[in-house]
Order: sequence, then C-alpha cells, then structure tokens
Amino acid sequence: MPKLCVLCNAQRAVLKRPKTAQQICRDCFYAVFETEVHNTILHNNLFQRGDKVAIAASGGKDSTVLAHVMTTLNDRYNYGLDLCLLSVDEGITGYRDDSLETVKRNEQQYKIPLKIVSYAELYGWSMDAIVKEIGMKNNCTFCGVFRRQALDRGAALLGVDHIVTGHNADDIAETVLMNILRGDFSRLQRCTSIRTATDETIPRSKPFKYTYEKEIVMYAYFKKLDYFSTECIYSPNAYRGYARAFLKDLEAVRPSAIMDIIHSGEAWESKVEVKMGAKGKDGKVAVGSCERCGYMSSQKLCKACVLLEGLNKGLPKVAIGNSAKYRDSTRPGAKPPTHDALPISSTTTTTPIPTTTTTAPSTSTIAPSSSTSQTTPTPTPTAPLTPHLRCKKCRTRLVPLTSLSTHDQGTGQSAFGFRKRDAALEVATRCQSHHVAETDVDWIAGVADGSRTEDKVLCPNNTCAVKLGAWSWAGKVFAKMRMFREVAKC
Amino acid sequence: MCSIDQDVDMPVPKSKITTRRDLLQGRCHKCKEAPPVVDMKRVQYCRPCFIESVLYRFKLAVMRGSKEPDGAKVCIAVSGGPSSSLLLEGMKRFHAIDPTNPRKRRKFSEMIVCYIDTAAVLGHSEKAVEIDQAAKEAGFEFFRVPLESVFLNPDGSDPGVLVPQGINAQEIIQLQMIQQSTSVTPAERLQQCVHALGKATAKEEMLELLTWKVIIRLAKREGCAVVARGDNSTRMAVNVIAQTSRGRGFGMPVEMSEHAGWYKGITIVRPLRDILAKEVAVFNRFEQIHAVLTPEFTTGMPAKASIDRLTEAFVVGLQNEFPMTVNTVVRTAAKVVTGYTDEDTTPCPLCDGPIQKSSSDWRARHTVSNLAAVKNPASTTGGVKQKEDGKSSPCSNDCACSENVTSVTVPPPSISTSCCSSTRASAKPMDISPHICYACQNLCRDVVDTAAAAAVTRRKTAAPLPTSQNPASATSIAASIAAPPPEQQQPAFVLPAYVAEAVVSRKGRDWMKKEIGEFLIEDGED
Repeated sequence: MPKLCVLCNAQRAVLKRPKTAQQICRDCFYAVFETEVHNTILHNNLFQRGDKVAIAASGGKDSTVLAHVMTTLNDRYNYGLDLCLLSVDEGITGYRDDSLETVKRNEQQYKIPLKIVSYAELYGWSMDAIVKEIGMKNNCTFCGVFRRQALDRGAALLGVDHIVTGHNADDIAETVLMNILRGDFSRLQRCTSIRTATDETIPRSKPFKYTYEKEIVMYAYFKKLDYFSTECIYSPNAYRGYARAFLKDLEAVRPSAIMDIIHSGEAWESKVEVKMGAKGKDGKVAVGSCERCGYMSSQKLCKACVLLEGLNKGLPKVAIGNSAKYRDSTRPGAKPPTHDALPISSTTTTTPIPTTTTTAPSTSTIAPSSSTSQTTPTPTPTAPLTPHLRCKKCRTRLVPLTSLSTHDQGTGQSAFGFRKRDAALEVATRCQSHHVAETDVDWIAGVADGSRTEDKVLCPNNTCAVKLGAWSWAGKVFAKMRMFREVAKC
Repeated sequence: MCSIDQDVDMPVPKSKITTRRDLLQGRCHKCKEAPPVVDMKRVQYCRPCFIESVLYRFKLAVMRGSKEPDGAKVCIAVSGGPSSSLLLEGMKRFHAIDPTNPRKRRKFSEMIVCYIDTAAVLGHSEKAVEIDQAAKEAGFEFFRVPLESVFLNPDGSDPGVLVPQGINAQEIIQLQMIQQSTSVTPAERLQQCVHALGKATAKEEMLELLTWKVIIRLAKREGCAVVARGDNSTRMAVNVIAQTSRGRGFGMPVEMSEHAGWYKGITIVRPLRDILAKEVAVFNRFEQIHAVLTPEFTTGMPAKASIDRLTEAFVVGLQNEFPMTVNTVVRTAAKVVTGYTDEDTTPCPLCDGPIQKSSSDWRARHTVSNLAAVKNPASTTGGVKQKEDGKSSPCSNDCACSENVTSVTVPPPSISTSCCSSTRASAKPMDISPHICYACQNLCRDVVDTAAAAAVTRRKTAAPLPTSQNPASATSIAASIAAPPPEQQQPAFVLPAYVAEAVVSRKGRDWMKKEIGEFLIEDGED
C-alpha cells in the first residue's frame, strides 16, 4: 500500500522532507517550500512594492532556485517587484564561465534582465591572473573582497534598491558555529540577521535563511532546474570544513538541528550595532568612504583598493595579513622568523637586501625594485619618487632606499648579550636591520653630535614622533661596518 | 703581579638577567627549577606547580563566581565522575581551616554533598555507596536523592503524574496531557518518562533537566545559597555547542555566565570552569583521587548516537588540533547577552530555563507543516494560531495514516489509574506545548515521533485495520498511547506533575494579565 502524503492526504508521498522528516508528496513539498520563503519575506518586510531587486546569481543551486522562487512568488503574491539577475564574473576558467551559461539560460527562462560585472572590467584583473600572480594560497581573500564590492557596483549600475543572495540555512548555521569556535563575538551577534544594510550601501538579504540546503537541491531536482554544480577550482576553506562536517552529522542526528542553531543564534542578536572603531558614535559603526573609489570603508582606502594596489605594484601579499611574514617568504631560502624580538642580527651572506621588502604597510607607496618585481604585470602607474623607508604611522620619508647598504653577517643576538634576553636563543636566520650611512640619519637625536651610541629612533615628524625602532652604533661588533648605523623597523 | 697564564677564579659573569617570563629549556615554566612533567596548552609544569595552578584557578572561580556574602551554605552536586571528585577535593581544601591562621573566616559556613541517584534509569545502584564514602572522607554531609523523587512533591506527597491524552505530530507539537493519580511507583514513572523518548538525544536531555530540577529543589530545601557544579571547561564548551544545536541559545547566559541571577536566591558556581578535562585527569592522577564512573546512555556508543555525544567528539577532536578551542568557545559563550533578563520572561515549566517569546510563531512561520494556512493565503498567520484549541486542522484529522497522531480530546481513560483522587489533578486535559520553551518543544516532538512510530508498528500488528474516518479507532489509539496494554513493551510517556502546576499557574497569570490588560500602561517606542 503506497504511503499517502501526511499533509494533503490525497497523493502518494514521494519524499521525506529533510527539515521535518515528514513524508509528503511533491505538490505539498513545493507548497511548504515556497510558503516558508514567502513567510520569511513577509515577516521581515524585506521589500517594498515597486522595489527593483537584483538576484545575485552565480549559476549554482542556491541562486538558480532563488531566481525561480522569487519570480514565482512575485507573480503569485503580487509583490510588485522589478526583478533582475546580477552576476559577477570572477574570471575563473572552467568554473565561472560554465556557470555563467546557466545564468544566461535563467535570463531566458524567467524573462528577467541579466547584468554581468566582471573582475577584469572592474579591477583590470581576473581571478586567473591573480592566482597566477600570488599562487594558490590566500587568493580567496581577493575573490571575497572583490566580489562583495563587485556586487554592490553592479547593483549601483543597475540602480536597484535591494540585493537578494542565495545563502541558505546551512550556511547561516555553519557561520554561527564558526563564530563560536573562532570567538568572533561581534560577528556572532550579527551573522544571523537576515538583512545587512547601512545607510551607505544597498541592503542585502537572504530569503533562503530558513531553507535547508537539501531542500533546495530537492526543489531543483523535482522542478528540473538545471544548475551548475562544481566547487570553485581554487582553495577550499579548511577550518570551515570541520564546522560543515559537524553540522551534517548534527542534521543526521536531529533534522531540526539546523533550525535550532539559527534559533539560538537569533536569540543572541544584539539590538545595538557593534562598535568597530573608536570613531563610531552612539555605538554605530563608523563608515567612511574610500578616498580612491568612494566605496564604503572604515579606513582611508577600502580593502579592494589596497589589494588592487598591491597587485598593480607587484606586491600582492602586502595587504594580506602580517607583512613581516611576507618579508621573509619573499627571500629565497628564508625561514620564517623564530621570534619577534627587535631585529638586530645580520645575515650570513652578502645578498643585497631587497629594498622593496623594507616596509610593507597596507598603504605602501613604495615602488618595487628590480629584485622582486620580475612578475610585475603592469607598469607602475605614476612616476615614483625615490623609494624611501617611511614612518610606519605618518608616512614621513626617512631614508632613501638607495642609501641602505649591504653588510656581512654578525654573530646574531649573542653580540648583544649584555642587554638582550638570552644569548642562547636561536640566531635569526637573516638580518632584519637596516644599515645606513651616518649622514643619512642625522635627524636621529644623538647621531649628528655623537653624544650617544645607541638609542631609540623616533619619527622626525614632531606631530607624530612615534617610536620606529632602535639604533646602535655597533662599531665593535661589526668591525667592517663601523661607519654605518642601523635603523630598524621603519 | 698577575700573570696572564695564571688561572683566576673570576665570578662567571651573568650573561642574562632572569626575569619571570623567561623560559628555560627543560625546566618548569613556572618555578624554573624542577623538570616539567606535564604540558598543558604549551605550558610545561612540574608537578607541584601544576597542582598549585589547578587549585589556584579553582579558588579563583569559586571566589569570582559567588558574590554571596560570606557564610553561605553550599550544595556540592556530584555525580562521582573525575570532575566531581576533583570538585569535592577542591572544595574540601577550599573549606579547610587555614593552618597558619586559624582565626581566618571561611567563605562558606557549611557544605553538603548531593548525589542524584539515577540508578532507576541507568542501573548501577552500587555506585552510590562509593560516592557516599568519598563524601564522608571529605567530611561533608551526604545527601543521596533518587532522581525519581522529582515525581513527588517536595514534601513527599504524591501529586500524580501527567499522561498524554492525544498527540499531534505536526511541527507545532501539541501535547495534551492530563494530571491524574496513578499507582505506578515513582521509579517506574521515571523509567517511562525517559525510555518513552525514543532518541538518545532526548533521553539525555530529559535526564539532565530532571537531575538539575532535583538539585535545585534539594538546595532550596536545605537552605543552600550556592550550588557548586563540577563542569570542567571542556564540558562547558561541549555544552555550549550542544545547547546551541538544541535551540537553547536564549538560555545560554544562564548556563554560562557567572552572574546570571536566573535562579532566584541560588548562585551557581562552576569552580572547574577554567580547568580542562585533561587537566582534571592529570590532577586526579597526581593526587590519587578516585572517580566512580557510571556509564550513561551513550557511553561507548558511536559519535552519532546523540547530539551530546557528537558534540563531545567534535570539540575534543578540534581541541587536539587547535589547543585554544575550548577556551575560545567558553569565553565567547560567556559574553553572550540575550533578553532573558526582561522582567516578563517566564521560566519553562519543564526545564526551568527562560522562555523566548514568540518562538512558537517563529517555528510555525519557518517550518510550515500545515497546509491549511497555505491553501488560504489571506490568513497566512491565522493558521498557526490554532495551538490552544485541542483540535488539529481538518486535513490531518481525516488523514488516513495519521489517526495515530491526531489530537483528539477524549475523556480520561480509566485504565491503570485509580480515578482522579488527587485534589490537585486538573480535570481537563491541557496542551502543555505552548507553555514550554523552544528546546523542550523539540524534546516533546521526540515523544510524539516515538509514539507515532510505536502506533504504526502496533497498527501493523493489529489484525483489522481501522478505517480512517472512524472516530472510535482514533479514540482507542489515543487511549492506547496514554496507557498501553500490558503486552505492549513501548512505555507511555509521562511527565512529572510539577510541569502541570507551572502550566496552570502560568495560565492563571496570563488570564489575569488579559483581564487587566487594558489598564496597564505599556511603554511606547522611544
């Protein structure tokens, strides 16, 4: 005897609903699926009648089903929305070009306009070119930052009022878990909100926030929606993989677990926005705009512009994470630094120190020197001034890089054993100090008059005067180098 | 005069100044003298330093956790496990009179040890004796409270038991329960209550919340202002993730925060909150503290046996690879703020945790399991408001395969009960599901699912198939869920009567509020 659907009680049950484990028929599945999305939209007042809404379409399952459901619901419940598709072409061969075909078919199917913005167009770099430049690691940083902005820019081009994305319940629950595991409390309070919006940007929302991934696949399967299903060919996220695997197991133990996690996460949502910088007023996030492109940014330059600058200058890694690490990894055969002590030891060889690596702040304007920039793809845009070591805070120019000189290795920390922590500590693999001619650093107090042999280096800009490092007249230790003084960590 | 060749005994110049933060290879990172024996989170300790460090964190957590004025009475809740044993030992040392200063006042006046005996469900009744002995050695008064006492009133009288009347397997669960007195012993009631929950997740959760109920009850009875629990930090991290996964996020601060202030008049202290499970084990080994192990439902089971078990495997695995995982999780969860401190937040009748408002609506909205609302789009939200009436929607009433799950209000079956003799017993069945918290609703859904599954198997074995439209068959099935015939091995679900009392008083308060509602001045939006 065939099982009947527990909801309509008329048709044969063909599926077990992932969310509730109810056995229901196909029509009832469509009905509950669409009604849940409808409820989500209605209850959260996501749209106003007459809004122009862009569906962020990647060609994957979530966005394909989202496009279908949004058009269906718009017709059925007469939301009065003006829908369009918005795609971002990252320029990943074998991944994005195929999935864009799906989006183009969707355009035909649903008769809604499609806009594709490409990285190449917006930034002059496709992801393939970026990966060629920086390798397989960390390229997700670029893709993520660029895509976020690309969506906003595309939306601005189309003049839309709202963007909807295909994030599903699994994604949200996973993010909640991730934020607990990483201890990111401020994100934990924000990650479950259905809509992200500030005054400056176009609001974004996730109508599939309560929709299980499995049900989305099921919906696409039964409705015979074709979508493009391949993982991005570039790096997956390892740590997130743990959370994802755990979530799948949880779902197997109790199907409602994903909803329960979202329910828990929503209980923690904070009413007050999290303060992100000291500049914020009334607990609101202080958002400025990028000096270069005008996109919202909490810094002078937005992250995309910083990354882009790095790419264009041939120093793509400067903006990702710790610049000191980068400094090491660029040198052939170099090992990561063993400790964070003030660098004072010198190198074993007389390899010239690549001058580009001396400073690596995010807003660096130093042009590359020949030693590391063989791969520089584009010419430096503006004629550079003589590259200088600069103050880490106010960017005041300190020492021209041309006046840094090469030097032989010293004995490492042991040379400074009389004042440093432990002479037995491992010798740093490579000297991180700069050796500078006396005349170039006469602005350092005590150098010109010879009243000191070692002291702090303070920024010569009186309004800044930040400590930049230390210098030492290392005459006795570096016999050959006695004419040089060192300025560390500019 | 001095010769260059002459050996002079010069004092060896100290090549460095030893500071506190220096680490010496092959020495304890703390005292820098003895060789290290343990490595915890990349800090190497020698044995005395390790023990000191653990006890220091223990003491700190006790002092920070209880802002009670001095002289409070403490109830130490123990299970006999390693953490409990350490808790007992730590409290003993904490409470001991300072030998150097005998006149120094002690923080707490008195300590009692409370052991909730779960032998009725888990077996192993012999363990209680061993724990009793350990408590006696520590010099504390020992209370062994059987878990089944939760089915009795605090004064020992029998309030009867809540039995289900009809069950509706929809997503908005309805659990019609009626309070009636019964001849079944409390221990059997407990067994019914736990074993009727088909899934290990629900069983564990039920056992846990009943145990906690008994502990709080005992603490109140004995006049303890502080309850000390032996949750170590690994356990707490597991709890955070597991509670989140069960939908208990709203009550997270009650679980995690040091100063939640949720239980009126009782402070919960977790002295082991900064001590890892591994540290507990090492400490116990060093100090020769013995633990009494009682196997639980999922002991020795695969990781997917229950949410708790799965989470434990997950957290412990992650901790092995990323040693700060547990700390991060506990610290993050301790920061969480929810609206539970609002004045009108009510405790859940079942678990005593705070109830998040409008979570039933939330569930109905996002997990649609009733097509009546869908078919009538005009009243999308009207359809979900039917939880108070005992009847389910028409479409599930005449459902062929769901008569076992229809909610039918029938007169209380007189099987296995000695009629309503209890004065407290409410005559009318009540639907408790709208009054309990979100996570407890999940718990009850397991009851419903299990009952439904049981009914299906029963129906398969029953020779004549009841027709779908026959109300009598529905009644009989509902009755059989409430009180299965003796040959049925599936025990019926029961709940302790305190739940009913809480629900009744809640209803009373709701009614009062409704009555006076128009005279209350609501705070407008500022």
